[in-house]
Amino acid sequence: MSSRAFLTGCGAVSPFGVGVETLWTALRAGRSAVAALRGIAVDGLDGVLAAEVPPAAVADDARERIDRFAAAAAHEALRDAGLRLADCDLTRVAVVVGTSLGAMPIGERYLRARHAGTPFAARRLLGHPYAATATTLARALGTRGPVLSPSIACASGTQAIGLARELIAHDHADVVVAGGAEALCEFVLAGFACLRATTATAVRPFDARRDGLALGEGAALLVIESETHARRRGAPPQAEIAGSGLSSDAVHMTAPARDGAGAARAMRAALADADLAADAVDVVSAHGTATVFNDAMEMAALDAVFGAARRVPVSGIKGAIGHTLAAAGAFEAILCARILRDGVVPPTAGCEEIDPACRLDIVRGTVRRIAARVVLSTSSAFAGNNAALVLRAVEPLPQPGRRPRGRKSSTP
Amino acid sequence: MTGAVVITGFGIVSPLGHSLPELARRVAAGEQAATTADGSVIASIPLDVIPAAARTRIGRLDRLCRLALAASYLALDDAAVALPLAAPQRVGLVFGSGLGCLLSNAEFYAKIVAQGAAAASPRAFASTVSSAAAGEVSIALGVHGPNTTMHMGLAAGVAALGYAMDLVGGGRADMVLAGGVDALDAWLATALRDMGLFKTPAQARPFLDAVPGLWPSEGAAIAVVESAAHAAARGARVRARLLAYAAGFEPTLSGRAPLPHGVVATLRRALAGQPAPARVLVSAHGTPCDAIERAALQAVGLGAVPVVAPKACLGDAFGASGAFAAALASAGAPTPALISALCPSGSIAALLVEACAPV
Repeated sequence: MSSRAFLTGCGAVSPFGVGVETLWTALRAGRSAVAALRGIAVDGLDGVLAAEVPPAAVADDARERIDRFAAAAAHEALRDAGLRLADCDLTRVAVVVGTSLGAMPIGERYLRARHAGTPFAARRLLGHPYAATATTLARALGTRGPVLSPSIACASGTQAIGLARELIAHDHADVVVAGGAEALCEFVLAGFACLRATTATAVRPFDARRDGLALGEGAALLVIESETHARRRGAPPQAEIAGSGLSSDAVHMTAPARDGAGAARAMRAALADADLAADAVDVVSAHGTATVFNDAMEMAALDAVFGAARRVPVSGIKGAIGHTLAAAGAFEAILCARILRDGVVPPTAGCEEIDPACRLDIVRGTVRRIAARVVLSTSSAFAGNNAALVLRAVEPLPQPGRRPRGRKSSTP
Repeated sequence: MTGAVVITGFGIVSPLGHSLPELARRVAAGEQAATTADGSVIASIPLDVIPAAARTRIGRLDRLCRLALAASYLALDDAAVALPLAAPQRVGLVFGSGLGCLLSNAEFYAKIVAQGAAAASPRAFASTVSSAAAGEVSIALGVHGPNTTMHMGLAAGVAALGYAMDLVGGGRADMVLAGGVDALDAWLATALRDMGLFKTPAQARPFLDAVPGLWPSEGAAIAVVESAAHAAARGARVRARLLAYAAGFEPTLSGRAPLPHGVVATLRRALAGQPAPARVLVSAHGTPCDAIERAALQAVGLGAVPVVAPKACLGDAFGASGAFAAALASAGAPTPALISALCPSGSIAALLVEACAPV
């Protein structure tokens, strides 16, 4: 890998509303946006919990909700990066949006219209396929570089960020707008309900009482630049995307491998890519869906990577914003960048009574101050896919007065 | 740091045969795929290539997964890769698909429309992740390395081969099964008709018929992509070398672009290492963006080189199309061939392939 990849801007439309700071404030406060489903009618399902983007957050117009989320997040990320695309060689600007469903509501409306025998403007289906979110965003931004839609279900957003680093390393792009987007729809709400993967009470990652996930929605987009590009325009890096890894469980289509071997492989691959040993990691952002099996798998995987002697601090955001599927890994990359910037790890919302089987140091209750230099993010998905990212602080140190490396974390 | 990357085998499940030699022969003879009564184009998927022990899951697999699984076994066989894999954590999967599991999605949701969400089927839902085909193949073959599915419309197969080239060239894997897969049925053909985008073979002649739309087809073309060093170490026959890959975007692809900058820039990057572009063959996307493609090929100095368009024989197999083109180029003359893939959505992918030995 020749050129380093710097994160220079973040944007988010989350169940807490528009903006990364809105999200970051809510996460530090330990709040949860998971509530009774309001915006979508799911015929035949009661008591569904979800984390929805507030209706007022993004202007209502003719675009699909997923496209509005993605555009708003991308524009915030570009503003945050201080980057005017008009100043760039647009053929060197890539767009990478992880996807799990595409614009599924278009397909839903088409099938309902066919069932009812009512008219439907079928050309709208062009906005439906998996790649449509990324191409619609590229069209809105006017970019001419690669437009990619990696799709590994719930780990797609994590892969998208890693792919941005690879595009830069292989000289396909200088700037990448990368992340993930997801809009809730009847299709996916019914799907997770029929798998009995959802909770009827609360999302409790790593908690003894955990009984399932709640779906969420939104978009998280990041501006990732080659070091050369960022330095040339004097853009301060918020973090380095230092390593990425992918792996395959090859065990089961919808259940995680019990031993966590696949997730451990992706984490080790990301660390090797970053040329770091596991003991360099200060904080882990967990997948933490709060299903019984996912969290047990992750406990095993993290134990395997860090060893029984090390209790690495772990935080997870799915108790706060639900499982945002293809957007989840991108939200978690923003979380990692904020941990590096502020030296603060948010509590894992929903985790109260730690599972006795869990030997991890789950950050819970309140924020913890950790002068983190390296953060690892891990994601796992249906079809046995795993993805991991390593984010590293970039010199010069973002803030003066932070404690030097090597000091152990403490709870305030 | 990018090492040399080669292709040592192809698994082909196509409307014109289930091996590269047969496909190459029938395309050379100008045969054309025919649509079957149920709307599909491949009359029978060669599931008998799947070992008996791995056939237990076939009953629950959708058409996309079956195409991918059969093509993957054929690819390993063509590349003389034995199972179980010697170093599964160093083997990856990159599948490109234009439509992914849209057919399974429609089946899953149609039941909800008819009977309500409570009737939703967990088994059907498991087929509605577009990574399902790669997931099924990873389970069957025991692949433990990088595994992903890339969507890029009609350019997805080329994008998958390009990403595999980066994974192998960058040292993230020794071997990657990569290519394109898309499945067709009556539902999809109906949707295309509803959209006014369905064309018959007679209406979809590359570089002759500029009307929007496509002649839908299907299939899978999966390559075994390896580092040259890995292929040499195991004594593998090299079918082709992957010389360059580039991707880009042109928002006016579906309209009338006077100067398609995105296409020109992408093709230029793919050709950047070529000392004599005039010697390059072109395997064109061909339809439905052929007017723009012609202008772009002229702009990069390829206005007078030989151009082929396998879609004239195979139809538009969505994401698999570009992978079929790469396979055919690998079976052709030992001259660099530019595989150009343009999706009306705006996505462009270009791959430079050089055949090594006649098939």
